[in-house]
Amino acid sequence: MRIFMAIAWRNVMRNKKRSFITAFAIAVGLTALIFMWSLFDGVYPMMIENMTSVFMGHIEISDPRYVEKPILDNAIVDGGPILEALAANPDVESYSPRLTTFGLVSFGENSQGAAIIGIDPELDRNLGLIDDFVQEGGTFFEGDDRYGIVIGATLAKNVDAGLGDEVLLVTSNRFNNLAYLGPLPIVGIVKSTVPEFDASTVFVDRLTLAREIFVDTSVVYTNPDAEVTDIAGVLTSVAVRVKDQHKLEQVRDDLQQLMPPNARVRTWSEIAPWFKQALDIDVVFGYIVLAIVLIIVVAGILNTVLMSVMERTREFGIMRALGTKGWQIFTTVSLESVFLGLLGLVIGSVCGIGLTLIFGQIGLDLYGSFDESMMGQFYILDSVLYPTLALDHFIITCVLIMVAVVLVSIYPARKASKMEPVAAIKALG
Amino acid sequence: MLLKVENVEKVFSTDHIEFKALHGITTEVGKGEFVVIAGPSGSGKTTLLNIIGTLDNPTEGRVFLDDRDISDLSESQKAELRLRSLGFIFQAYNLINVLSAAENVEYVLQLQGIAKADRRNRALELLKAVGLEGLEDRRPNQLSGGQQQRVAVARALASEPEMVLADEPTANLDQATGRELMQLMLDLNRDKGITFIISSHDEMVIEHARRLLRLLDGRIIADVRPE
Repeated sequence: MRIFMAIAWRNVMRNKKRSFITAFAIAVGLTALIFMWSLFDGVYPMMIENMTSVFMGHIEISDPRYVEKPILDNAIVDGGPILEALAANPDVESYSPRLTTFGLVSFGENSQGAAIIGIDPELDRNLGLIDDFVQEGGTFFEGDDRYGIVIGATLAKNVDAGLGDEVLLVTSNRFNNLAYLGPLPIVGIVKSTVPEFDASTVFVDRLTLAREIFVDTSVVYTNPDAEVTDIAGVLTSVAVRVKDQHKLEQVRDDLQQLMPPNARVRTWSEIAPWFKQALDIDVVFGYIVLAIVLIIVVAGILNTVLMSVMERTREFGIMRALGTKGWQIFTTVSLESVFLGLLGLVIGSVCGIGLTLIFGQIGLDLYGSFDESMMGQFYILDSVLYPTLALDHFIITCVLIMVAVVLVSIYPARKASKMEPVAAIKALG
Repeated sequence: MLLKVENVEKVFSTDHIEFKALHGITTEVGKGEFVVIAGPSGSGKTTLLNIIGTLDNPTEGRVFLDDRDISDLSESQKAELRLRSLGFIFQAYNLINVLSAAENVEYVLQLQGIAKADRRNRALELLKAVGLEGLEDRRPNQLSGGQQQRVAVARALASEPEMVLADEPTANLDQATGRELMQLMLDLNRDKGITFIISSHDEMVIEHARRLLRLLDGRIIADVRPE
């Protein structure tokens, strides 16, 4: 076997320029592939983190009827056991119950429609980043500020209100009567990474909101069970962050077991399937690039090895005449392909890993040239991207390339091994 | 008898043409003979040599080596036979270009599974015997045509074959180098008793024949043993 390896390697080295061009083509493709996968592997978790960390969380618990039709009739009014189950679950990092309704934000003569989200400030602070986006001077419901509102920066601008101004929230309560909250002082103005959020959201204390829209002293209950006595359990959803995202589905299933029948547990990919689909499309794009690289590898190797075989027809004839068996010649030619492939693989791996490590440190400023308003459209992407080398993707890529190399070598190797000695010896090559 | 050729015929055919290269060749070669097959181009010398060497199949007839019919062997069996029992020297470009002189000689021994040290020693001995001492590590492109043919002779002898088949071995050599090569083969035949069958139309080679088979149009027209 050693002699065939020697012959194969020396034949690769016999035409150095041709071999290196082939190896270089493989290397360039592999470098691009490693870097692209690493970029995906670095960006996806960041996108998911950005997507889930601002407000959504990894998991959301809500009544499926509320998901279908977000009205207060579909809110969960007995959410106490849900919150207790979440507090006791070791896989849950943090959770935040929300009570969401819709109404008008009114200040002076200005008013605008908005989502009114009731939150538990302490719990929400542990889960999301909204409190981090509060602009200078404001607070996120700290101390006595609990009786106030935190408003999106664009919305505040639209109604021409600022910190300390008192705004009125007008909404309808559970009984379809008008309900008024306030006037409530603006205690914080939020400028987040989500422009839509800043233009259409106000935050209030959940218990305050629940009291206003779920308790109506003027209502006479014909069914006593319909009366909400514990407003702490009134919520439309609970956002949950888990400790280990890799166990997301398992945690979802575990939590679902603990939930009352009217609560459904969904992961972020179920809440925002469009986002999951976008990531999946990127993965498909990655496979398309992989296919292109494989075509380059196949074409390069096939061209080089086939030319090499044709040039050495006579040599193969001599080898056959000396008693070399067909499979031994097959092995020799296959080894040439493998060596070429390995050469490209080594160069490509060094370049690809090197590039990934460098940009993993310094980052890739893809959006550096875009202005801020443009950046808003890409809120789930950071302005600087950091590629991360994933060993499994690297190994899969290398294995696929080597499989392609071995498969493509079959044709020239078979051609060489099937040469008739007499015809081959007569050939000029 | 080492080699027996019985009524061998060879027909080459294409879609439109059939050409009979050999017409019922029958002959025998004993151990230690030094046979030259002579004849003009197209007389069938190389075809006959190829059939004897199992590189080609006869259309009709049989070839026996040591009383074993070698006409119907499988490709693998033929390869094994060539490896163990036959040595080949071709007209030119005989060597594996990426191997050194010593490695070319060792190649056959390696195919036979001989241990590294033994095959290296044997290769060096053979190269010394053909006058190439000191040139063992040179690649074919660093050797002259005559030196390359000497390496080919050394390689043909490496497996200690029963018979060496040489097809126009001097065709690409100048007169002096061709004469040296011829003398080398004669010496090996005389000293080691190796059987040589050489096809050639080179008069110098024919002059040295100890037995001369003359072919014309695929037929043996003379089988003589010059004094």
